[in-house]
Amino acid sequence: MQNNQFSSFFTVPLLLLILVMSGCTTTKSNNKESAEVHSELPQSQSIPTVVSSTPDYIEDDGLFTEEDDGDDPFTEEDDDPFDDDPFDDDSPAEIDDSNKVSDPFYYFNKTMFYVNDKLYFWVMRPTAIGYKAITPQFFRVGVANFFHNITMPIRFTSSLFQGDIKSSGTELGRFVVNSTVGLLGVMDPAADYLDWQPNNQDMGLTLGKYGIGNGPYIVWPIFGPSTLRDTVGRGADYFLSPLSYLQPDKLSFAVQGVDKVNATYFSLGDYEAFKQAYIDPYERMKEFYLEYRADKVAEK
Amino acid sequence: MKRIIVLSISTLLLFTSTVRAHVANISQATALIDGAMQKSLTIINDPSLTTEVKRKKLWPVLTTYFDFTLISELTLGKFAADSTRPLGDYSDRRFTESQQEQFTDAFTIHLGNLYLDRLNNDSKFTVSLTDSSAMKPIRNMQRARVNSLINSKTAIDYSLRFKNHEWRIYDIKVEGRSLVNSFRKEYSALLLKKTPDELLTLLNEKNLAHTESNAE
Repeated sequence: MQNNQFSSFFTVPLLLLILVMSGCTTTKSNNKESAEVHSELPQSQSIPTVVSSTPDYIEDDGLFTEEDDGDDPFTEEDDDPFDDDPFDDDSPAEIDDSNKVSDPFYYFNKTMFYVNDKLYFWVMRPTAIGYKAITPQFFRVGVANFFHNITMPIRFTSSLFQGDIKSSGTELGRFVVNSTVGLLGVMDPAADYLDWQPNNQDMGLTLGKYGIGNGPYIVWPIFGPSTLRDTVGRGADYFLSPLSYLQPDKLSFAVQGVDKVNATYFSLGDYEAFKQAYIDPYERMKEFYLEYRADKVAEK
Repeated sequence: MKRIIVLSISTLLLFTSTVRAHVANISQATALIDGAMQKSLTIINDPSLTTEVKRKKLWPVLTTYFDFTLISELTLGKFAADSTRPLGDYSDRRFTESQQEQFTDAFTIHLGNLYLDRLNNDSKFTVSLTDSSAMKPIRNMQRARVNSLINSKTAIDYSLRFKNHEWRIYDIKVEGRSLVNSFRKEYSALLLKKTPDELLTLLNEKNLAHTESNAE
């Protein structure tokens, strides 16, 4: 019964997505510079410096590019694919509409952004602060681990659909180890002792890896920024999450509410800092979300 | 023949000393970040200090290690006073020297607030430096990047420039995202709709609102 329900719910949105988004461009290629941290280096190891006889420069950040005066001996070689300088050309300043995801629901989205903002400051933040006051840190970490562990089917299936057998295997192995040795997923011995790191994939990313474009940008109440593609992916994630099948429905909502509050605790201060940083937080949120998802889709 | 040998040896010596100087300078950049981290963490991780005291003590550390003038100039990019890039229909949006000075002051406070707002009495941070590398020199300045991990998970990369015998930070990348580039994008979009004075007003209003909210 559940399988039939699953297929009908899953197939309809997928077909809708394919119909609506056929012809959409794929997400912009992500050739941005990634962080160059070599986390595998033990912390006690001394920091390597450049010692080659010929200076071996890392890729440029492109921030100075517009100031090149021709005297720079490296200017002619400056065809860095990692250059993310938006003013790397001689064209006059103009509104750049390239690589932009359409925002046909702008007024709805902006309203939802406002609603979510109030929801955060009036409900989620005070609740998370109260939750922090009555729970110890190890409990909150345990709750986060538990919810992460139980939503393994989302990551497992997504990795499988992406053809990433290794990550699927890792997710399965993590689930087995953490559900048993890790006391029903409250602890994470798979990462701590076996170095089996989670691969945080979802069905939205899977669709992205199939080359399906974002579609219009949508801001949902409670869930926040998304796109048509990611909304469909989220729908599939819903059916893959065991939490969705808890009965009665009230229990399911309550448990997911705890997950949300617990997760909010771990990101307390992030949204405040983001809002303080930018003059137009709506546009920046859209940009960051789309870039973040594009980066995740481009990850191999 | 003898001349050629002498010339070759001299060239080799000159080249070697250049490379040594280069390596030494990158080490200095790493040492600078290391020093800044030690100073900051001593303050941040001190449980006896209140958030307010931490803010006051950290402010001079920030202004010592960051080149806010360069950060502001790079953030304005094409719209900076000294830029020679064309602005087309938006040529009136180029900052004057005076506007840029005001922008530097306001933006310095803005960035400082953003950094210091992350502090609270429970803040506990660990930092490990993981790598350091050279970037292409520009404007006769050597440049370096020092990579670090905060709390063993968040990648923070510092871009530094060497000028007047000093290394200073001119950009920070959090998980590969450049702080300067992120603000540059926002302000360049705003400057297509607003004048430099209007941008300055918005920035000053933000700083004022922050001061008022902190006072409360």
